[in-house]
Formats: sequence, structure tokens, C-alpha cells
Amino acid sequence: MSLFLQSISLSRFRNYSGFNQSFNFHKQFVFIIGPNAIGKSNLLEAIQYASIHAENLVENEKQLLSINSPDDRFQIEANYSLGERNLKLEISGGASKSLKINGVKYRSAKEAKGEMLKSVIFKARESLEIVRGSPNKRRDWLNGFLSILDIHYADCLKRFERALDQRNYLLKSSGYKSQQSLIDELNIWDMELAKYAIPLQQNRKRFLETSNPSFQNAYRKISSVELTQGNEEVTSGGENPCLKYLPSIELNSEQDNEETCRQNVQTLSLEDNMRNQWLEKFQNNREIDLARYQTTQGSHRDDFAFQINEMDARYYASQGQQRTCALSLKLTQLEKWAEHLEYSPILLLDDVCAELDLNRQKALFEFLPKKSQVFITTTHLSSLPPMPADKYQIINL
Amino acid sequence: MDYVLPLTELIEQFRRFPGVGAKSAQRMAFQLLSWDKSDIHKFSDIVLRAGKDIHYCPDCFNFSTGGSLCAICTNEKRDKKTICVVSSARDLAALERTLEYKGLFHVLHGLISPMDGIGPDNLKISQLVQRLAKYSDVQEIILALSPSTEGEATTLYLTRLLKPFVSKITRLAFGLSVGSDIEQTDELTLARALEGRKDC
Ligand SMILES: [Zn+2]
Repeated sequence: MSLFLQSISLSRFRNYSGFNQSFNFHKQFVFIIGPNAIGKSNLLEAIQYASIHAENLVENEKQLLSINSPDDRFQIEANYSLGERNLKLEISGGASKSLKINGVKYRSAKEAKGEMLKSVIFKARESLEIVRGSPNKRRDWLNGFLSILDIHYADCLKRFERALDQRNYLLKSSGYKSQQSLIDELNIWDMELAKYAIPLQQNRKRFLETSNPSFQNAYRKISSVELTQGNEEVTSGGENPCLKYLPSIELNSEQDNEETCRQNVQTLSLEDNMRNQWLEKFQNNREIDLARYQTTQGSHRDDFAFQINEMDARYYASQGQQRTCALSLKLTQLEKWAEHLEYSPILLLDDVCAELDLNRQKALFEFLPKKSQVFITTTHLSSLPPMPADKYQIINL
Repeated sequence: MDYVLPLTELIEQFRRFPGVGAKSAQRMAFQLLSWDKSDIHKFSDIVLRAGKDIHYCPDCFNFSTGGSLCAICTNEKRDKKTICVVSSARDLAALERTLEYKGLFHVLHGLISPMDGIGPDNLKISQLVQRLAKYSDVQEIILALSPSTEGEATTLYLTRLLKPFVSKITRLAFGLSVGSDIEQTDELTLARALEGRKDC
């Protein structure tokens, strides 16, 4: 089953200010073509606006809240189908801010989460930042997506961040406390942090590990064209791409843990064992934390790397490889989400063609998910899309 | 300010209450001034008496009057072997309304929160330890603190601190609110209730 956007009408949304404009979509692949600044990204943004997108639950919430602004008096109506079901989504901004699905009013995107259109968006520049940017870009992406997939994760993350704030405040006020009470209080916050850090860490690890087959597959499919083309970079067919979790506090592997549990006379549970390990490493860092008045290690400092043949793509990969990593990550995200939702969300590709030559475009289009509806913006199409004519439509703006 | 000084001052005083903004404070002040003089006198007498007579119970730190133990601590029928720890007198009142609980209370007056400058020393925690040392027949401590990060941290702190003094330390279960439909319960509460399920 897949989600299919049949039409969207916009009034007063960004560029479309002052007049209504409707778009009908009747094919799986929709190419939106027009010169820059004509509003093709706005159309994509409107679709994104009308959907719960994979990037971040908080963002989704904010989006609907931002309708509060009087400058944003707009209306979006989107009609989509999911299997047999037809859904009509109406969003209006400004004073009469509201969100309706099939006539039923919802107070927030969160409340309507189950019913709303789902989309994964790839914006060339922003997505590249996940590969090339500082660790917080990758962390935000990971936290955002895992929070959408798992409400427990979202809760743990919120609690971890709150406990972290508290601990940092405590460190800052450490000068006013007696040594003993400082230690007593730090012990409490360390244990609180551990309580949430362990599930965060396990979730991140599991997610990245299980994402690897899909990531590797996407990467190899897209980059195989670079090999035959070979005019820009030389890539070897033996490339081994991998998403590698880089936890700030490294724990022994689960097998090791099980071993320790078995040997331990007190028969500690696996969770207890991991928590003790985490606490021990965390507490080894306490001196540094006290000297710097902040928590220097922990889940808030985790990272993951895009590795190609065990080399970090952030530093050692070509532009082309980095772009392929970014795109592969988004396609993996789509696949992961589809698995979770048990239907395929919509894929939005903003300006992806600008960065890819004809052959790579072709490879990408051929590799695009077979089930998802895909919206692609581009300034021009060098040739007809490499897919059967009944599969795509072209909208010229 | 466009108002006469006493009115401006009155508005300022009302603004000190939580959740009262400029507009509400004005409304309250104007309302007060529309009363009969005798009612205004009565109001101010009540405020004065509250400030003078209400103090903390020296044992449980609930509100009390007359410079002595509170009505709960002096009630012969209450079970002196159980102490329920709450963060505020409001939480205490909520538990009292259930008519279920027959033991004693201890009001902490806050939760551990470094952000707000509140450490264990700013709460009535050492007083609780002293109380336990004094009345050695306490058998159970119930920690009835909110499931927030601060509530959890305080629960953890107290659990560790009180272990040597009492054999049984319990905490409230998280679950569904009675009278609410399962379908209308938020996912997280539902997940927690599922985790804390019991044998039938
Ligand atoms: Zn009392």
C-alpha cells in the first residue's frame, strides 16, 4: 500500500499569494519543472507543510503552530488516498488557524499524526550537511527520525535532555556546595542520565545497524553509474559503504555483556550490567566535568559516521561520494519508515538533478522506490525521464 | 501609571500571583474596589490572619494553625507506621480527598532541581530523616512524587537516603486515569500502564 497525493490547492501560500492555484497529480512520478525562484520549491514546501515529514516531530509541531502568525494567512487543501481510503486535509493559517482531516478538526499535528500525509524530503544542500556537517547535524537527524518512529525514544530523549540540563546547572553551582552533598547530588543525576542513555544508545545502535543493508544497496546502485561514467571521479566497484555508530561512551558488545552476566555470581540483568558499565565510564569523567562546569560525555555527544571502506566520508570522500551518501541516507529513511508504517510514504526530491549528470539521474530514477509516489523539482530535464510514459507526469511552472 | 498610587500598588500586589498578568491584576483590583467597605475589611483581616496563624506542622510540614502539630499528625486514628512523602501541600490535599490513605504525610515543599537552585538542603529532607530517627516504628515510606525528571531524581535520592531507616519504600504506580477511555489515553501513559500491568 502506498500514500498517493491526488491534488493540492494553495491560496496565499508563499509565492502563490493572492490567488488560488490547484495542482492535480495522477502519476507515481511527478516532475515539477521551472526556472529558479518560480516557486517550485514552494509547491514542494506546501506538500511538506501538509504532511508529517520524517525529519523531526518538533518541527512538524512548530509548523502548525507557526500558522499563528498573521502574515501566514493561507489555506492548503490536499486530497490523498491510502489504499481504499480517501483523505481530505485542510489547513488554514492566520486568525482562523485550523487543521481538518475529512472534516474532523484536530488541535495539533501530533494529535492528527496517525492520519496525516507522511513524507520524506531530500533537499540537496541540507541533506549534504548531514554528511559533511558537525556531529549535531547527524544527531538531530537521528533523534528527529527515531522520535517519530518510537514514542519511547522521544520520551527518553526529552528526559535525558532535561536531566542533562539539571546536571549542568548543578556543575555550575558546584562551588556553593559541600563536597559530600555535591557528590550525593551528582550520583543521582548520573543515575537518572544512565536510565535514559541506555535505551537511547541501544536504539541508535540497532537502528544504524539494521539500516546498513538498505544504505549499502542504495549507495552501490547510485554510484555504479559513476564507475561506468568515470569522467569526474573514479570509484571502485569494491566500495564498502557503512553507517557506523560512534557513541560517546562505548559499552562492551552485547555478547560480552551476556558473558559477564553469566559469570557474575549475583546474576546481574543485562540492563543492570550495561548501566553499571555506563556509570563507571561516565563517572571516570567527573573530574573533567567539574573542571569545565559541563557534562562532557554522554548521549548528547554521540555521533555516527558515513564510512566508505572504513574511512570517514566527512573527511576523506569526494563531493560525489558525499552526495551519494546523503541521497542513500534519505532512501534508507524512506524504506525504514515504510517498514514501520506498513505503507510507503511520499518522497520529495528538491533540486536533486542539478547535482547529478544525466547518467546518474538515470541511475537514481531507476533506483527510486517502486512503491512511493515521488515528487521531483528541477530547473530542466535533459531528456525524457527513463521510465514508461504512463508512470510520470510533468508540471511546468 | 494612570491610576492613583494606592490602586497602582494594589495592582502590583495582585500581579505577584502565579498566572496573573497585568490585565487580570487590574480586573481583580477593580473588582475589589467595587466591594462594600465591610467586605474589604473582612478580606484584609483574613489575609492578615492567614499570614499570622498559618505555619508549618513541625513534624510533617503540612500547614497547621495554633503553633502545634497539624490535624493529621494529631489524629489518633491515623496509622503512624506509614509516611507518604509529597512535594506540596496541594498534593497532600489531593491524596486526602481520596479518603483511601490513612497514614501520615511528609511535605517536602519542592523537588530537587538545580535549575531552580533547589538542592536536597532546600527541601524538608533532613527533617524527614530526623523524624524517622525519632519515631522508629515507621515501617513504610510511600514516595508519591510526580513522574517528571525532577520527581524521579528526588525519588531516587530519597530511596538511597532512607534505606537504612525503613524496611519498605514504595512509589506510586503509573496508570490509566479511572473514568477515561483507553482510546483517549495518550500513547505514553498507555505504554507505561502496560509496563506496570499486574496479575489478575
Ligand atoms: Zn503534621
